[in-house]
Amino acid sequence: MSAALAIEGVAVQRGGRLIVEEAALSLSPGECVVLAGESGSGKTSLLRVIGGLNRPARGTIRIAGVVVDDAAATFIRPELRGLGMVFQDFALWPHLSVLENVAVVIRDRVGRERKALALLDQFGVASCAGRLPATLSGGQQQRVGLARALAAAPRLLMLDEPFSSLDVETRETLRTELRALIVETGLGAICISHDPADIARLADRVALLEDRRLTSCTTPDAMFARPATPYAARLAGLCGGVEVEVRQAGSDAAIVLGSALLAIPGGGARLAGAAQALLFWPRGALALAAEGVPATCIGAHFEAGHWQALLRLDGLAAPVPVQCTSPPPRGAVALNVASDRLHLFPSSPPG
Amino acid sequence: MKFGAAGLRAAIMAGLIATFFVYPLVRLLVMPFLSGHGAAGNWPAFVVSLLLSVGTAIIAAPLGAVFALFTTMAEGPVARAATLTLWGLFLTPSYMLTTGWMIIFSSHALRATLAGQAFFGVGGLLMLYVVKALPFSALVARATLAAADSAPAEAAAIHGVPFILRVRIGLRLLAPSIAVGFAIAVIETMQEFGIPATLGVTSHVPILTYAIYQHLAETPTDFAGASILCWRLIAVAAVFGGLAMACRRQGAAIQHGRMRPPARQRPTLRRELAFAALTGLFALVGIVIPVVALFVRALQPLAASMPHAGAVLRSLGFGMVGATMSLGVAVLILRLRAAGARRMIAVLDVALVANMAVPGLVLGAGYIVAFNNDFLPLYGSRLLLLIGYTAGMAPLALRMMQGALDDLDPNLVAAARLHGLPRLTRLVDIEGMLLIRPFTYAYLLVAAAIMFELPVSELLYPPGATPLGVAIVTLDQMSDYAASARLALFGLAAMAGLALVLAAGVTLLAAPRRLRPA
Amino acid sequence: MRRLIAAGFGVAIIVIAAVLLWPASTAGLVLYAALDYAPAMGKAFTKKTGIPVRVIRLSTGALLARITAEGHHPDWDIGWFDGATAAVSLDQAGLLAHGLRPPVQLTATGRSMLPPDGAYVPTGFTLAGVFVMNKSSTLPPPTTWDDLAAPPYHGVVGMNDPAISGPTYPALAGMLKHAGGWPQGKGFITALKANGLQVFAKNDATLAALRNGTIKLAIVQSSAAVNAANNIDHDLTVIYPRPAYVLPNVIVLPKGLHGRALREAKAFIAFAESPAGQAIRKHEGEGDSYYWPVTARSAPRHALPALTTLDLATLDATRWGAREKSVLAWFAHAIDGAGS
Repeated sequence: MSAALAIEGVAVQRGGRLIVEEAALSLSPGECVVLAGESGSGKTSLLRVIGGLNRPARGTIRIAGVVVDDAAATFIRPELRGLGMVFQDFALWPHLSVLENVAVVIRDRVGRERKALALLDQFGVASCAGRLPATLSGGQQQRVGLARALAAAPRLLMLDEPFSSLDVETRETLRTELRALIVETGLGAICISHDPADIARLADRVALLEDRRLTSCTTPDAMFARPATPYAARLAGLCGGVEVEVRQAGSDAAIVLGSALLAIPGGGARLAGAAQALLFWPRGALALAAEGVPATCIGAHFEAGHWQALLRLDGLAAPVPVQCTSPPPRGAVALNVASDRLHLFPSSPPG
Repeated sequence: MKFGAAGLRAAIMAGLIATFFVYPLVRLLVMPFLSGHGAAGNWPAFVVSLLLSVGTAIIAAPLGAVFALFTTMAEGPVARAATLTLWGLFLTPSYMLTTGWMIIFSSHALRATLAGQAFFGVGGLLMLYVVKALPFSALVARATLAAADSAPAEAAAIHGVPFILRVRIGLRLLAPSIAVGFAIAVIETMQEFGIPATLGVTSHVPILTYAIYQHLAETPTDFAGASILCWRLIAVAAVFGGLAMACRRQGAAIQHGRMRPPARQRPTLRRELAFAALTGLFALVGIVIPVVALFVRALQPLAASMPHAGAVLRSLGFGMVGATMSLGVAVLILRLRAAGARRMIAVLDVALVANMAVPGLVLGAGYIVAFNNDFLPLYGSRLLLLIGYTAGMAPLALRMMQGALDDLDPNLVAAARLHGLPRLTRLVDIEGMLLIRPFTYAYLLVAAAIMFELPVSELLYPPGATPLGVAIVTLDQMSDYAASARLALFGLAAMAGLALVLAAGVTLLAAPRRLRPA
Repeated sequence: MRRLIAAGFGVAIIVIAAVLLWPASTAGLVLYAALDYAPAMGKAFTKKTGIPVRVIRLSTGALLARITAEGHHPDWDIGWFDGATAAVSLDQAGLLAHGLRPPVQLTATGRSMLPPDGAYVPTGFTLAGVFVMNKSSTLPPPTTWDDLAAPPYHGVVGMNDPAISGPTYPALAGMLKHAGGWPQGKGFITALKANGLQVFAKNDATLAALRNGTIKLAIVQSSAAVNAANNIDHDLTVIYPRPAYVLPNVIVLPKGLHGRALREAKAFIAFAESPAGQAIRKHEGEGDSYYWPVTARSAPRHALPALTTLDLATLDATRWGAREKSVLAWFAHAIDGAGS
């Protein structure tokens, strides 16, 4: 069975500047790949190239085994690629009723409206069929958007930050529905997002677009275990990011944290000498203790069921957030550090 | 970049621009050099026109800025009435405005008064020019202001900057708008043709555009002489156009990325009253008085016949077909831009800016010279008149369509393509319907502009097919104001009829099918 | 439904464009005419001969400018207008056919109008400038052109603009000739200007100014004057100056006209001079019907005075036609003040 989508060596230009180089990605039917990357990293441009709205500078794109663009003579127009797309801002046609929005996409004229209504029903918005999109809530509009995308009987589903305009509760519900849909229909889906929750709930694999390249394409659990870049680490839920000095201590590296020197297993000469960004898991990496690295608590706030203390350590430019179970005391405190839950990344990316 | 459909379109467009813009202009403008015509005379018409234009701009630009400021900052009925008045002034053809006032001063008693004497001299010209220039400077200033940010002014207020300094900050924000308004007012007044053409010889002030017209369409004809005068007209447009662009750039430099348009506020009663008086004055002078004069004279059963009655429907037809052609060209150009043919975009931009500097009068003159030969024997045909209208109106059509497209969410069009909608469905049901309101608005505006167009019509109308503007001005010259007023009013009624029909059509088209789910 | 309406609109535009742009029938003659009776004459000619005539009615000034602009690619087959001087101007620009035969039974006045090269055919004449006043006016009626420069006429005399009104150049030329010719006559016109001469666009505008009291004496073409006095305002009276300058109405053909078109155009000229043609011109000519024929076979309308009572003078069309450009340029500059 051929891949729902396969891109090889794709380069994307915007305004005469190369923004994506040598991108390669393959996704199977029934698989959802979340394409993440910082703002302006070229995610949407890459998606537009896959959709055929823009042409790649180099490379080949296959959809369901068919070459749709080889950056040369072969170019299959977007309307012939068999796609369904869900947009961040819904992009429902404002002058058409909800039913028309879905029906117009269905190719077979026979029983069009019945089929459209069935799809709307599937997403729980059949009662809105006669209304204009503007009269619907955001969640309802995105449900119509999903129904429309499926109405096109696509071979590949493309989602461009589909939940970012929705409230938290609607996001949660729709994520689950979308996941079920992908699994049940066996559709390949590529979804742009920078929300860790989308990665957790939707992604079979995560592709990261960083520094013009698709740096990794891995499963979410692999990304959580070994985040390859600071951006991946943050997506995985790590916090911090303060710059620390690293010294060599035997075969290990050691970071200078206030007055203490903490060994980081396995770092060694690779890390020593350079400034590194310190990221750590919010839970278990740093904890207030009776004794340990001396620090000063400058304040605290309550966040998502925990107290978060802000600590200043000698030699660090920025304060460090530390989770604790009760309101921390102001002033001098001690910090216990679990060095296996720390991650160091070069503070300025190479190249 | 591959040479495909876009390349073909670009080539066609380049061919059209070369044939119907560059070639006729070059033919006209090289005439003095070829014929060795040394008639460098006619300086009085140039000097007087330039002085009048600058004088008009000195009055119109600050007033325009005030109008712009008030209509963007203030809320309430007066601000709305002011916006309406500006558009009314903008849309009223200058020869109708002039005809209305000439009707008033056609009575000997009024003509003999000081006001009457002034009307047929510099005073009258200045009044009519200011009325016509105001909407241009106000709308241009408004565009510059609308792009301005309220943050600097608010920041100054919050941080307790002294009042004088705050006024200076405000003025600095406003200065580019006034300067651009000034430059536009000079150009528009310099190029204005309807007012001098209607006043004709009854006004004893030499005007450049009318002098050009006289060289071309009255005996004895003198194309080389007209060409020299055209050079001067274009030179003024170039100088002040450059000034406007420089000011706009200056204006843009003090704007920045994330901007918040100034919040509308209800003005103080005193300010509102003062502004209501100003708006009322312009509405009265520019719209109410001339239109009432037209009505009253049209109702006089002096001569029940209506010569040139066919001109109304004929010009309506010209307007409809011409607007279709202009918008067609605009859409073609916009598609070329979207396709990103870079060199083509540069050529188009130069051609567009140049087209704005070249008034219809000069273009028409170029057409007479260029299209009266064995290769392109178009002069005297209705087709050339239509092409002239199209070339003249394309920039307006383009600006309006560009605005409409800028407002259109590109994802709506992308969604239609990605979901595999057939081309016709996309064109009619999606893009067409999404753009239909701004498109209709642009269509009506361009159709009206062509229907009431004067300079191109005067120079290019085929014998036996007198356009409306020419008919009205001809009747004015024969002092048959009753017939000319009737013609003007019938013309307005016909245009209103077209607007109504199209509005009804749009409502019918754009209405969603509100289906009751089974 | 949407597509139906869109298609309907598209079809409507195409139909309108087709109606607007449909080429006029190329069969028959195209007549550029500045005379009121031309449409009736065209119809009568077609009825008599079966040759279709497309009559395009233009003002004299617009007609001459149009013929000049069309240059050597004429869209016209026959031109019919007031002013032998204008015909000479066109001829000197090389735009007219030569060798047209004069009508039969020409009167003496008619013979005096004939061009040496047969570039135009006189078909009748009016007077280039006559005086029109209100009967009730207290102004002493002038008899000659010189009177107009006198104090009683200060600020009350109006005439047409020769740049706009085609038939006015011969009137101006007559005034100049009467005052000593060109350029000696300039002084007289300047004196009129100093005496408050006012300039209006055309006959109708000058007469309207007279009727609304802006001026008290109008210098206009005789046909417009007689028509106004007889049919529009019976309070007006026409005074024939001494001398009154003859303004021939002429037919011209474009250079290069040949074959069938030339034969048909000549047939039209013959019809214009025939008694039947002249009868139509006198009955369906509105203002222009007040002309004096130049053939012995036809009489003028009753409202016109007998030629013997008038002091007629003719202009040398060749000489004054050649001067037209410089005279008009001077007038526009020195008298109008407008436009140049």
